[in-house]
Amino acid sequence: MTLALLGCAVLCAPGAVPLLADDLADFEAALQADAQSSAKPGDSNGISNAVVAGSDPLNLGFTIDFGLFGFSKKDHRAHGGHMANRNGPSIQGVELTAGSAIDPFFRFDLQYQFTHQHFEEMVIETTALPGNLKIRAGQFRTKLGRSNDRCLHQWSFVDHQLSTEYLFSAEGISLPGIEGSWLVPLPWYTELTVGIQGLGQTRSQLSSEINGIGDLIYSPRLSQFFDLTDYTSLLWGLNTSFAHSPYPDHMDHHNRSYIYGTDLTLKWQPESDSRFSLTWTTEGWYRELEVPQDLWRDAGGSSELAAQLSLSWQAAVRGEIWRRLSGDTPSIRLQTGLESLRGEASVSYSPSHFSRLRFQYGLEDIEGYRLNHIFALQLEVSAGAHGAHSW
Amino acid sequence: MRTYCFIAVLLWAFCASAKVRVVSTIPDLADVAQQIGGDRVETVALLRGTQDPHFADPKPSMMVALNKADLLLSVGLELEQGWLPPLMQGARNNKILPGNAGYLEVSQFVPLLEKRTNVDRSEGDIHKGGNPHFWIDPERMRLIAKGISTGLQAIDPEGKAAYEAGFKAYDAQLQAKIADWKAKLAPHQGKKLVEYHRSWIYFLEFSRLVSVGEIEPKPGVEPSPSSVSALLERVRQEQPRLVIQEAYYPQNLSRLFAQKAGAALVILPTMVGAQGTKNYIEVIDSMVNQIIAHLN
Repeated sequence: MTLALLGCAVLCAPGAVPLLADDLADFEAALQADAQSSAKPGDSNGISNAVVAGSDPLNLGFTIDFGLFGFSKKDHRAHGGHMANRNGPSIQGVELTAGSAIDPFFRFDLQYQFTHQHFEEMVIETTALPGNLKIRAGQFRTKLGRSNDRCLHQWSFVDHQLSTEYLFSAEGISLPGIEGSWLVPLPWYTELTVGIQGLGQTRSQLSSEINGIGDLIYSPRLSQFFDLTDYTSLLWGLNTSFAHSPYPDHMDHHNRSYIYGTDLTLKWQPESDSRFSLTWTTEGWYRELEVPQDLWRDAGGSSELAAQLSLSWQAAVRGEIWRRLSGDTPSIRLQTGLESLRGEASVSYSPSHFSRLRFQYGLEDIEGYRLNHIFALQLEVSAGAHGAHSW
Repeated sequence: MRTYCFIAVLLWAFCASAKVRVVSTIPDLADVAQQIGGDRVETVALLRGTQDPHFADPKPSMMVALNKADLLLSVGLELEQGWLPPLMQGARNNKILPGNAGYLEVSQFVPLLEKRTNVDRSEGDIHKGGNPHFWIDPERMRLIAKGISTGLQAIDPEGKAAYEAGFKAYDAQLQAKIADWKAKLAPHQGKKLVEYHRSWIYFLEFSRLVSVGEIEPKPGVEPSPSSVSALLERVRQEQPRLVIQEAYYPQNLSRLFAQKAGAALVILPTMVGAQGTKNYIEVIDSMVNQIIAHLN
């Protein structure tokens, strides 16, 4: 269909050369064969990592996500964040990005989200600390798991993960603070990161005022990367986060919350075609939340498989689960996380490195709601500098 | 006291034997640095010769290599902009950040073609600073080699004489090969070909071959059946003899195009490691020999 449209566009263009019908049919067949044998590497979200930053020293860029959504049930769960809640069109995100070196010692990066009118990140980062150390200060997405520090246009789906929403918020956890990280001097990549943030709240954490070090949110992460072969790579992360529980008891005793998680990303690119890749990403989480006269324990996670099928096509499937292990305070159940099952599949087409069309179907079964079918069609475009993404 | 002396000797021995660690984005630059630096350097390339340098996978293991690097060699002109910056930021090695002697964009050493102003993405993925595929022109590689030699001298002044000697020897080798390649290509001057991506202009300048079009309708934009049909109609009169492209681009469409245009599709190596090449001179050797074989 798309090929036909493209073909039509060229045919209708002024000054177009008349085409031979048999040539056109042959080229369509050859193109389909090429599409099955090539894909872009290093681009798990289908939109390119390539940047045409030009001479703009601030590397200003805009990314716009527009979606059309349909839900089979009117009383479905409203997930919030970038996800639409009603049938019809929705501006999911209008993001401004900028970043630059400040001097030989610091750089800054920011992401401002116009749809929610807030900074998703605004970070000053050291570039010249000794001992393989780096410090970031400002407001930043906490490095916890594989999805929390990724923005909308890096996802393989039009919506966020359930675990991110249930543990933190529909937009994950992004709070002011400081983050120290150390590239451990080992032969393989090992990074230890500790985020210390405060003056904010998530579904599991509270830091309303700071009177001592116990009032902050601490999030250590250890990640290790292994080149299993020239064509197979593995990233393994261990995550924790400790803070006050957002549910203090009546005796003014600070309840605590504890989050533990692990994530695994396995990527394979065949030797015969460096442009094809398969990426399998899995995250698992466990939470203990002290609430008045109760201990809330729940767990869940997600697993997704994303395939770059061709230069322009990407497909992904994801399964998610969330289960309560103990605790039965109804109000907390509603706010923290409901027993859930969700399956999603997406197909994306990128006409160029800077635009992408995505169709997604999802089926969710969430405690207290009826089975819901979700359809989404998303158009994403990037203008200006589009920063490189991490692995 | 004896222990301290022993440690001092060990440290001295370690420092004395420590090599200059050079990391390059494309393997061709690592090869040239190795040829010039000899035993004084150890080189690592982040990319394999079969990978598309526009879209590399920024693997965290590359940060480990960059963390230990004394010198980073990149092509520049935003060719690696989509994957190199997060690696440089994550490597925590100030030596290889822009503005320091350990960061060398080799595009600064060569005359560039297709510099553009007032260009936007409606024209495709254009590199404003110039076309970045210059390393496959051996004449320009001589200039790059000179620049790498100077860069090595800046970070390892004690090796100045060795690097100068290494450069002279390599340059002489390149000059001899250039004369040989030019002699082989001379009978084919002016012969026409079609490129897949506009990545051959520097080599065409060197070889005096002429490009009459590209399979990609615009740089970085995937061809459509209609765009290739239009190209076919346009270039049939020109009678191109070859369609040339790198191995990482799709081949079915170009093969069919070549067949219909009465040309031969030739998949050429452009980086060390592709098609079994072991060094830069083998890359150009392979390129020239394959082109000549098909033109003959």
